[in-house]
Amino acid sequence: MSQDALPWLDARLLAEALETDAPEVLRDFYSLFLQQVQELQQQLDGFKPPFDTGELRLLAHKLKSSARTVGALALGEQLEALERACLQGSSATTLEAILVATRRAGAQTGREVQAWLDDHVD
Amino acid sequence: MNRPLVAILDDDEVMLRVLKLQLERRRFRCVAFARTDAFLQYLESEERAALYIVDYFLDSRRLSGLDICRKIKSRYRAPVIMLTANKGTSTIVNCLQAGADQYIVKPYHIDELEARMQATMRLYDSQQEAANVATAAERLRECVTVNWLLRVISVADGSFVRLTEKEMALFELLASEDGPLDRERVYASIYGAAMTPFNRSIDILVSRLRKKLGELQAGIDILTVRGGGYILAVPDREHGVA
Repeated sequence: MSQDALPWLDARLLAEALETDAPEVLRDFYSLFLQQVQELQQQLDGFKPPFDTGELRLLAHKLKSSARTVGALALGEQLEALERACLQGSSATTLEAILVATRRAGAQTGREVQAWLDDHVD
Repeated sequence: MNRPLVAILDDDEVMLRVLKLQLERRRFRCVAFARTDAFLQYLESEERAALYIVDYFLDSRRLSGLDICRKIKSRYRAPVIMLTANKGTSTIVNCLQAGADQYIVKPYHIDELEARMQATMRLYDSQQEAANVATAAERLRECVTVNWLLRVISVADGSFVRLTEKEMALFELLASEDGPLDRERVYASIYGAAMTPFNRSIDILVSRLRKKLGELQAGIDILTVRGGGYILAVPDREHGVA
């Protein structure tokens, strides 16, 4: 399955994991996740060739599980690809391409999460 | 109802809060830490968790999840479950070599994690019971020799008593417990059935065992605790009868 086929945000997953669909509970988690995604975007912007693959891998790994848990499956997949590329010692060109795709996934995921929050205001 | 206390360390706050909420919904009490230093401070406190859950890949320059696992294991006899986003063999081997009792790969299903937690805690409980048996056995060894297989209890002067199978079962049961055992539990353990009203079997069995233990003159006795069942009194050289 390609990464593009995965949803940016499958809101059922977090509700299932938490065994509740109460918006007031889910909102806290999405808000925190959105903050993490925004921080990720800022940090990714700071990476330029030659890449510090150790730091980049750490960053990708850190948000990967959260992304999948809240239902941001495409971003989770992209972060895994980035982590794998760092581990495998991929070329700067390859890393650059994956970084661009990760930034794009982060931006789109951020918009989706924000839209969910806007739809579930108090 | 007993709600086991679980201590969690995961520097990913979303994962940490998700897990905490999931476990609290399943009647666990939780203390959750996103920072390693705060968790280490907690380890130094007097509170003891029934189980520790530690993320494998901590964003710490100083300590990894494996280091934390080893620290817990060197201090306390408590189960540790490692959470990892990597299901590679080396990661799993590392977890187990660091002393982790279980590992679970993220994203996990909470039912699976809970089942692993319960299984691990059950194992520790049964090991604790085995440790209690050893402690009672140590105290018994100071005043009598017990041949569990032949069902013979002897003392230094060579006198001995031979127990029946049921008497030995009762003796083992009482020796394995530090506190009193109620009659219903004793009956169920020995006869494998619930005790019926006015059933005097246990009273008779206790009476017979008490008499045989008395013949040894080793100071071992079965005390009747009012409303609490029976307790085995074994002389303690340092503190008198225990």
